[in-house]
Amino acid sequence: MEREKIIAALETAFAEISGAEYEDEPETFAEFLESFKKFRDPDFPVYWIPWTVEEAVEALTGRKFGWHEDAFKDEWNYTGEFGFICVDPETLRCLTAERTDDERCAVSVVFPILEIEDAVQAVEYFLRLVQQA
Amino acid sequence: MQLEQLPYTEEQIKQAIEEAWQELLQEADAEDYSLEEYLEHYRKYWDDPDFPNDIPEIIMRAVEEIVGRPLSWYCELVRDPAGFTGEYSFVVVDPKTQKCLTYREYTSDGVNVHRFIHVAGTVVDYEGIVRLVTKLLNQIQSALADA
Repeated sequence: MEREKIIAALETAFAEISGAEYEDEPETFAEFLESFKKFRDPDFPVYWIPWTVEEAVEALTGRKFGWHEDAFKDEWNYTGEFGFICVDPETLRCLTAERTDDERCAVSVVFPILEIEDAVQAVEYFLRLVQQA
Repeated sequence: MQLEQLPYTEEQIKQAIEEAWQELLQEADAEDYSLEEYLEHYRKYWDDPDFPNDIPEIIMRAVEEIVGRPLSWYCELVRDPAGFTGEYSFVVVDPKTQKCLTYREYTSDGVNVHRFIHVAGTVVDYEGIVRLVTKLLNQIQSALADA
């Protein structure tokens, strides 16, 4: 899928999630990520980042999924890494599950998201997963 | 849900928790101390990032022991700006089928569907562990029955 289309979906999703769509001079997702990258402040509404990625994936696929997301934190700040788990509600299959060498499987995937390009890559990854499923 | 609805007793759950604890002690080559002592220490220092947090491991080992097979899982230690809240959020997947065993959905208004893929609970004491193991078993058992 074209990068521009993914960025547009991310910006639309972010405007809905952050309430920026009601503001006169709304902050874009790219700008939000820029300030997150600078400060990684513990008071930052950091979950807007994974929610934006998830909403963009749902908008681009026209489908809803079950999600779980985790914003990783070190002793002081957010690290900028996010764990995602995605489940297809129709089949209940965990799309992010991956077989490991033992009798179990890995359940989550982790993405660093500090720039808009990182978010685009995360969306592309989930779009591939949905397509493969 | 009540324990009476399960095909296992509270006693079996407590035994599985104790076995999980003993296993962890052995693996860590740690001196013998009780889970109650550990939990006392845990209550004081749970927000210390260096504190080894074995709670999710104890919970899932006990669940696997009762279910009778290995499961794949992810556990988030839920934090607010002030630190760890004491809440654990588990996503459990059947490694054979890769199906999510903790998925639930409901609608409050007949239109919007709320989807949850995790089961969460707060652990501040031994009873909290028993409650969370029970909650996970209830959910997993019903998901496996539907499969």
